[in-house]
Amino acid sequence: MAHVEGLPSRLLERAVEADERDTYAGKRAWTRYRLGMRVEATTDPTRPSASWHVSIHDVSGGGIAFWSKEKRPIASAVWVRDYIEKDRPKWLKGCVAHCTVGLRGHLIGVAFDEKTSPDSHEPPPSKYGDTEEEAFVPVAKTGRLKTLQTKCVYATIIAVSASIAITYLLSQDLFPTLGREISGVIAIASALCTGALCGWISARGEAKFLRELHLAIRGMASGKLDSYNVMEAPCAELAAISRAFGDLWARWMQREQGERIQRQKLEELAQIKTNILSIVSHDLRTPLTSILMYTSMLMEAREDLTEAENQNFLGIITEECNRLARLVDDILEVQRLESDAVRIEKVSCDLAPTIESCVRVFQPLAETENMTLTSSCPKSLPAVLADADKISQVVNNLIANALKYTPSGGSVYVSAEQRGTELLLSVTDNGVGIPRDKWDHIYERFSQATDADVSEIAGVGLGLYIVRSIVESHGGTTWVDSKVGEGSAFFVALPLEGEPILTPPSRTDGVIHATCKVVACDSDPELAATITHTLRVHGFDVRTAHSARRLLQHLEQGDVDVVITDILMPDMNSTDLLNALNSSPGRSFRTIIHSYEGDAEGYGRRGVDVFLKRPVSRDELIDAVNVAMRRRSLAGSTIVVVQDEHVDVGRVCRVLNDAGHMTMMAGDVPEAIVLFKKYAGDIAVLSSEVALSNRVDLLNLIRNSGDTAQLVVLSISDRKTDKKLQEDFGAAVISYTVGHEEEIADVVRSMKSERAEETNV
Amino acid sequence: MNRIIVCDDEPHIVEGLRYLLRSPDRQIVVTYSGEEALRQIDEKHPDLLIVDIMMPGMSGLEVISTLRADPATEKMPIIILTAKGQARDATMAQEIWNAMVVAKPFQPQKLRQMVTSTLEQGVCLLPESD
Repeated sequence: MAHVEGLPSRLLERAVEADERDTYAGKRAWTRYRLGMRVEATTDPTRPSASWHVSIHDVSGGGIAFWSKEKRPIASAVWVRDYIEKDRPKWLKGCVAHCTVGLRGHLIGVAFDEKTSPDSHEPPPSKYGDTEEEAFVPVAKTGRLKTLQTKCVYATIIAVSASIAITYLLSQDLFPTLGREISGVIAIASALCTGALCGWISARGEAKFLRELHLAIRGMASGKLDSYNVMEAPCAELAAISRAFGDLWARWMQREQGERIQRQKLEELAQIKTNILSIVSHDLRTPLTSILMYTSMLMEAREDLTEAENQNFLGIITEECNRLARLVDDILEVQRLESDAVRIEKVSCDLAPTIESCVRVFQPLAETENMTLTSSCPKSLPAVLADADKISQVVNNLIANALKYTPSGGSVYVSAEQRGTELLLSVTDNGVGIPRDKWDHIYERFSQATDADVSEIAGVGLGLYIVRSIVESHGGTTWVDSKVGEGSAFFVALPLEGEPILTPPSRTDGVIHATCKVVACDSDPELAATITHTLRVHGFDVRTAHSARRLLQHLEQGDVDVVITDILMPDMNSTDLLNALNSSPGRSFRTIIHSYEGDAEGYGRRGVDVFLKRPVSRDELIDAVNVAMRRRSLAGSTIVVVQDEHVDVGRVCRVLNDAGHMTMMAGDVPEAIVLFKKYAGDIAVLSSEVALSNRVDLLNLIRNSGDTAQLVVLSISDRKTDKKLQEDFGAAVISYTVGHEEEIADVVRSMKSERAEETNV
Repeated sequence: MNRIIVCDDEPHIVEGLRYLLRSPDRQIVVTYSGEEALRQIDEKHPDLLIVDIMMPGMSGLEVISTLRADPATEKMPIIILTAKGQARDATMAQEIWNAMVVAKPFQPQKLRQMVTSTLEQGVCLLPESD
């Protein structure tokens, strides 16, 4: 991130006042902010609705960075306020130092002060706060807390004075009935009691604090301390320890997360290695087996073999040797493409001659196989920025593949033309064809295959993977359209010169950043390829599917964060698809529907997070995935809303969806019970009318969920019975009017946090 | 007359095995997929099955598990050809499926010997250790 050197003075002033010191990343800057702290950001402090809540992702040099749904132009103003002083939150003006797109949205870095001080270790003199607006009201946090020593002195003084007072009273013979000895004993006893009491009272806070600190340290030691709130300390020394511990925790968290990512990366690499070994060994062993077998038969020189058979054997041996050589070439080529050693040299070029020469090269082979190889390519094509050698490798691979999978007598057709802002190449054959479920598969490198896939991919070779890698490095897309038994058409679309070239981050980076895993599914192979490419460019780890069956296969393998799919699939109707998505085992992904059909509300009721009506722009697509991702990370509640004529259920669902919850709609309470069971519901939202007329069912609902279900009752008219619902079911009752659904989200949020506290206790 | 069914998706290997194992007193039936192999076994009741593991569609192990679940074929001698060549898999397969595992690439003469002895004894024999 772009650090702003030096210290922002206003911030600093506040931090010094509060004795907040941060030590992140080895810096010794003063700041009041901590990692993970929730703050509010706005682009216009005069409009309350313009603000949004963010949590701080990075703190450095006094500036902060946070993830945001919205993009902010660099150097634009952003106001941030926190709630450290609960009563007087104040907007603090900053300017956007950087804004980068990342997995979690836009990472916005905010610098609070453009004025920098050369010496960043010493607090500069306080010279800010001259104007009314900028005036900063310091909170004398340190002044309020007594030190431990002072407290001890106070306690001792109180105890001693009390004992002296009691002794004095007793010595005055106010109670003549008591003997002198007894009076003495009482005096000593009461002095001891007072002393003990004072000591106990004064050390109570400290003891509690130390117990809490002990638990926190234990938590950290066992690696489970996922959140930490600065503990309230009873005295100044412990307050300092508490803050220091907060810093220690933040640093530990940072390191812990780094290690977690590292571990994940290593595991992935190990898996990749295993897969490569397994498939490479299979692909090497198969031709070797043939070669060994045929050579040994030839060496035996068996008499029952005819000369023609011997020739045939030699032919097979040659073919298998070539196959081995090709495999080794391909492996080396993949290795080259993936290492940064080979950079693709892009120059403006006309690809027409390249394509023509590729076709010419394959002509003799096609003739010997009795196939027709034709091409239609204009004399010159509009220029593209490309490496002609690499593109010729692409065309070669595609033609070789087409010839390989087309039976003798078939035909292969190569074409190139301008289409819009792209150059579209295609290689069409009338060969065996590829089933829809495999359309994405054939482009995969075997190291990306999961164990389940290994057996299916083996033998496919690396040709198409090489094609995809080259095309993607040119900012283009590639896809296949095919029908089993009729043939296949392989397409490559390259952006024309002058069009922006968007290339995905390199694969080695991909392994590290691939934390957001998306499955893009569309029956239209071109659209699927475009969506995949767009998301890849933005750093998402994307898998593609072209049929509902394949999509569900991807989901079965798990490890999917977001699904983006069309609802009209050739192999499943929309209702079945939605049901299958909802009942997918261990469902933790978020769903985006991208289709011509339907409306957001209708889908929202059926567990869909975002509905994109076609056609959508790149930005809309990225936003949708980011929203879905954000919801996934918020880990909201699962809420069932029961329909009622007095309630705008669609709106309720939408508001709750926006707050990061999973919502579903039930026609009546029995249906709600079913949904609760099926999706492990947390909260049911229903109108008071429905609640009153379904008391028995509601009890069932709560009992069925293991008494964890909570109710939110929307009261339509104020009645005494509402209170009864509150008492009987522990329901939260809100008076409801159409258009004020936001309140429901607030109530749900507070229910959730209460629940979390209960669980902690 | 002994009957052998050979099943592999690689045509060159299937053809090669047909030549390698051919003998006047043997009938060799070649199949190119698991499904086809099962159909032929049902029809022809072979004395030995030689099957590859990694095949598209029905894998060799699926074929074997189907055969072992059927009383008629539960004792049929089977030789598994595998290009995976993981020692652990091989011993486990031998124990679980009562079948011999031969890793690709194999010595053609050894396979021929193994087939001959299996056909003579009518049971699966563990290959002699080298």
